[in-house]
Amino acid sequence: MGLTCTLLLALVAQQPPAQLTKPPELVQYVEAPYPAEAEELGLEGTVVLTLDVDAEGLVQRVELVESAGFGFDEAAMNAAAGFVFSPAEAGELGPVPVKITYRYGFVLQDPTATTTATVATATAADPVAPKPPDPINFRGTVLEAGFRKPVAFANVTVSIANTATVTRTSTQSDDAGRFAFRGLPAGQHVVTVRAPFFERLDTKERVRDGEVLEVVYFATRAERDPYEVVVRAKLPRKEVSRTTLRFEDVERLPGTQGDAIRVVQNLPGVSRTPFGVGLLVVRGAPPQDTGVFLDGHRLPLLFHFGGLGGLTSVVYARALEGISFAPGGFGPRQGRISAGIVELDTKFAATDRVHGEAVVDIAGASVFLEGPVSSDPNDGAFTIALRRSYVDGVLAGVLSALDASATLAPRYYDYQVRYDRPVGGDDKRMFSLLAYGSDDEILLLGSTTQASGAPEGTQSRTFFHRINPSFTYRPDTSTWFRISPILGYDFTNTQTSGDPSGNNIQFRLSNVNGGVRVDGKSPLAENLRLTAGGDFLYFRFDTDSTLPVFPAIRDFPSPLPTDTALREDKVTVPAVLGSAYAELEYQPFEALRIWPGVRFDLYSFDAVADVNSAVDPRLVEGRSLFGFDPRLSARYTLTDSVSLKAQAGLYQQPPLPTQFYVNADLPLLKAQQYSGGFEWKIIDRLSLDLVGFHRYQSNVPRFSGDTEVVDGVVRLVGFRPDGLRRSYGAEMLLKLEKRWGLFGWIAYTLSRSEFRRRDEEWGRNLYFDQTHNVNVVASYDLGLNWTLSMRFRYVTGGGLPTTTYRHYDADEDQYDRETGDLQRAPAFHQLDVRIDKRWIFDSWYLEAYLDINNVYNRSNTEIYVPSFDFKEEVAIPSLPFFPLIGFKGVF
Amino acid sequence: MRRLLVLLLATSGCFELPDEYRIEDLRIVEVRAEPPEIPFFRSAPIGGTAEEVFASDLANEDIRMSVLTAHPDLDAEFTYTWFRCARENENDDRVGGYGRVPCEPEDDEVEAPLVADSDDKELIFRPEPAYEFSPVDLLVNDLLNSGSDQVGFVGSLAEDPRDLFSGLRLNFHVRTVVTDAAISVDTPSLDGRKRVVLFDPAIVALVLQAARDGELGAVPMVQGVDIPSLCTNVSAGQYGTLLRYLQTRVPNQSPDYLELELTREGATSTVAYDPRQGPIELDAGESLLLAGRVSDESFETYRVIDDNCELVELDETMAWSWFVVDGELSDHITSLEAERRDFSGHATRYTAPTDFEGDELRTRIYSVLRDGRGGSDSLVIEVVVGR
Repeated sequence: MGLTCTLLLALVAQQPPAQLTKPPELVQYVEAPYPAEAEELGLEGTVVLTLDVDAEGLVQRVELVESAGFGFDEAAMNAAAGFVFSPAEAGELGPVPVKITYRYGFVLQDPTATTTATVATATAADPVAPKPPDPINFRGTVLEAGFRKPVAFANVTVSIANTATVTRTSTQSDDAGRFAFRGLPAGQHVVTVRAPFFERLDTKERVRDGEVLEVVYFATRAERDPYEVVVRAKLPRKEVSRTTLRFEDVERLPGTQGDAIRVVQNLPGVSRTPFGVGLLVVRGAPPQDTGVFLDGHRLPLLFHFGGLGGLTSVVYARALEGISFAPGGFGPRQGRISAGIVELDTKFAATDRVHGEAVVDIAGASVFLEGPVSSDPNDGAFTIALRRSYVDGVLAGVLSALDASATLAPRYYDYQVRYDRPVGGDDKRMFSLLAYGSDDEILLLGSTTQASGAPEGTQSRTFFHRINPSFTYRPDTSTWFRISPILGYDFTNTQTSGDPSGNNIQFRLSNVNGGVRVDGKSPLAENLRLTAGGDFLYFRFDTDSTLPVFPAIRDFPSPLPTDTALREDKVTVPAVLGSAYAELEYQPFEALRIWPGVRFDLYSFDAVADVNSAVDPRLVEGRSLFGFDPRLSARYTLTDSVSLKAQAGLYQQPPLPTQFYVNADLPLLKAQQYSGGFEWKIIDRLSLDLVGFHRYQSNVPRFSGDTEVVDGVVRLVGFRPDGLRRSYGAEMLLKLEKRWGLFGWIAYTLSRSEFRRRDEEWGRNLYFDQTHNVNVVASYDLGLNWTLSMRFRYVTGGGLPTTTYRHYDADEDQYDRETGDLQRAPAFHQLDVRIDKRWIFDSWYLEAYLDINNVYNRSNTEIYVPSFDFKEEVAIPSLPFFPLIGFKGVF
Repeated sequence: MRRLLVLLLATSGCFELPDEYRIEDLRIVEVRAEPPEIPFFRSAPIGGTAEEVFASDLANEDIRMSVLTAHPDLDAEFTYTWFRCARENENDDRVGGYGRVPCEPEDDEVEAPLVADSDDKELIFRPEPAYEFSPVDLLVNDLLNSGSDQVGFVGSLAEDPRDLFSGLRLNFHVRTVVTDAAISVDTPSLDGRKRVVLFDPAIVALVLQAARDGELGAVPMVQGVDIPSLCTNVSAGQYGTLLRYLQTRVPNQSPDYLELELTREGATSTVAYDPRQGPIELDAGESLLLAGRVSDESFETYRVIDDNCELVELDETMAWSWFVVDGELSDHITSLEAERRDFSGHATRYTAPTDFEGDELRTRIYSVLRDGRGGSDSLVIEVVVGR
């Protein structure tokens, strides 16, 4: 009788902030007796258990997940209760309790077996007395086909055929999938490899005298393991609303086109944007109020073409460890934004071997590679992701087929390269070097205008590059320190030829920036921890523009465009941004944790400009702004399955550079954020998160066409900080982690977003005000490597202008109108479906997907364009039924 | 960018916007003011004191306002109501009103008749599309009712501080109502807005002097605008130049629409449209190039005071707006600059319809000429399309 067990640990995702940095390892195994009833019946079986392992590695609770019957369950549960693991660790949090899935396998051993040579683990010791050791003459490795992951505890049996009898000898593979046999007789033997959840593998091998036969067996997984993502670190969450996604969980969701970052748009608190463009509108706030951070540093943009291009983020999702999104209420570590936060963490490269993938679809192609630099772990490991679009070529064909008189030619590329290596020969010191960037170019060419005789068109290029080394020191499991310098260069250049006046205008902005960020965490007492840090950033913005000047003459209204003069303008704005933050984590008693924190921000701007520059002369004199943001969050564990949470804080952000250029008197935009709610773990892997929120923003810059005189020059006021916004509502996330082959969530947001001037009453809705926003996302393993995914969205319509009065302006030969509140456009609803299929080969697999947009061809309206007389709003529909095919090869 | 994206979507056939040139509803295509610009005083001393200026004789001649209305039914009948936006509150600084429509009821603005001394609020109703009145009489009446001083009153009429140097714009409105038509339309009543420029050299000189002297209290103030600093740095020499300009300035004149040039498809020569010879006869689907011709005097060269109190010399550019009841046009707007007198170079192509009932279709083309400073003229072309 023998015993095979399979330990599958997948490191998780569900509840960081921190990830497990060290999984639990079984150090004391308890062998279960083979149930007599099953043995008599000649039955084998596998029992699936979940084990609650405490921070000391002891099993506190055993739960039966999948029964095998015939006495297997009791035997396995009793044995597993006596297991001892090495403690799991989660970065700075040190040892943490975890929940793992454990497969306890029972396999009948052939009574005729004469030899069992075990090199795998001590836990699978051979009950038969060992022979004197013979030399190893047959060894190999069992790997999972397609993925090349080691298959541990695979039972390898060699059937030795003599003239009269068949003798079988077996062994088990170790954690690395390795196995070996000693003293096999020469000749051709049948080899059988069996492992739970893998197809049986039969082959023949010839053993020769005096030679060592080495083989690699690729075992094909018989079914997708529904418990791949199972380990939940019970880490204390700080933010009231934070959702963390792992690439593996969401890469196949429809509508993402393989870009997992786009999944953020399907989470609670995020408004739907027209045509699915990649703008993050969080709780109704404009996209610039939400910050995106990559390894702690602000990312200049998240999606190519600023989101207007729509489809693709600038960071290759596979290069990320995780994506974390909080629609508000985040801690003081990050600032300069007043709404939500998206944090992207790049991943450590795989160190076992080189992995990679190549993706080709209608929009572009990409390559991803990761692996060790050499066989010596101290040499470090690397990650490389490269992507290049060819949308320009595809669109050219489409527009040509449509006989469109306009040309649209966008192209982009992006890259991320990361290198990690330990310093000093241990894991306490780690050096990382991250380089990343993006380059977008778009050509938009219209028809020839009569005024200029030249095609009306826009050409725009935007790129950024960053180099971000970092050094992390972890003297112990609860203390860490990180210093992270960064150097970057941003550039954008937009040229428009043949504008209505026949002018060629240009705006060029470059930005050299550099700085350093430091963060650290250390316990102050048993129930008190301090996280603190800050950053110091220097920017030098150089603008070189040829733009229409504010007209020195107020033209009489005419049907012809105003003949504006152009002015070349060069402005240099050095800016220094500094911040310091501190946050305590205080646990007065077991069930309660409190995180009081504070953040200071300093902004110092200057400008070097011509006398008659468009820049506000007050900026030339220099401006400084200060921010002080207190923040507090708390969490109370009511029961094992229910936690209460609440948060309050101040969030301030500077005006946009374009706003500040025109009006340097603008103050910081202030946002007060309050939220509270509860989390309820309904059953294992099914949880409900419900949050109510209120956000109030003041000092919001509002465009003003008023003029003022500064130093004898009439100029536009541009922006007045008299705007107010508020947003309130509730967000719900009902989420099922992978169970029964199913993964998905239902996200529902009920909200109201309004704005007004100081002297007005509330009542005007923001453009992205969406009362009901429902996202149902699900993915189901059909078996045989088929996966079916779907996304259904229902969103209250909005943004439809109302004309309260219209009249004809006889001087301009145009209609004017008075508009009222935006009214509700018809609701948006759409179903997207995606089907994935994998073909698994020995050392790689090929994946193809069919992503069908708008399955039932719903005619949704995305935006409205008014007719010339404002009599009607012409609806521009969303994409109709549209299938998209893509391929990915992974090794 | 947004305009180009909309263009891209539109040319890709994603959606269709109605053509601006096509008369498918009640339309106002022109509101003409003759003359387009008026002074306040008949002959006030330029460079004189406020007392001297405001003691001068008023230039209270009538102007003639007229409206050209179009309708899918060529024989539709209309009525017209002329009005302005004024305030009932006599203590309000902005007594003159002449603001934009709609008059805001919550601001106590009301639609007021164009009668100077009328106490009632009956609007001026006319069955014919023209009305004559004296804007200066209106202004004086409003001034007397306001209780404000004269300079402050003038300032209250400015929409923008620069108007004090380049001309105040008085808004007048006409409401056109369809009274009888064989074709029903979406818009039975439509308002039109027309500006009349009030430019008095003596008042401009007063403003210049006040700004130069830094007499804050004496200079008209407009909310949100620090007027006195606008022309505070004017040197004595420049001030003299500005006064000479004001003394010799010629008010804007309406352009003179001489004739319409027609070029039939395939023809090498053009002919002038003469309405006395009856409508233009076209075959279904036939194309015609249309180009307006104006007199040389219509291209006026003029000077304005810019924000830096510098004189800038400019030339008028003529702009034609074209409308059709049936058929298609290649361009809704055509234009011609003063230095390029090639009238054929700004033509629009008219294509007669092919889809109509009966053997013959009577239709109409409207051509409206504007000089970009408030002056306008127009031509209505009758067309008969046969099969």
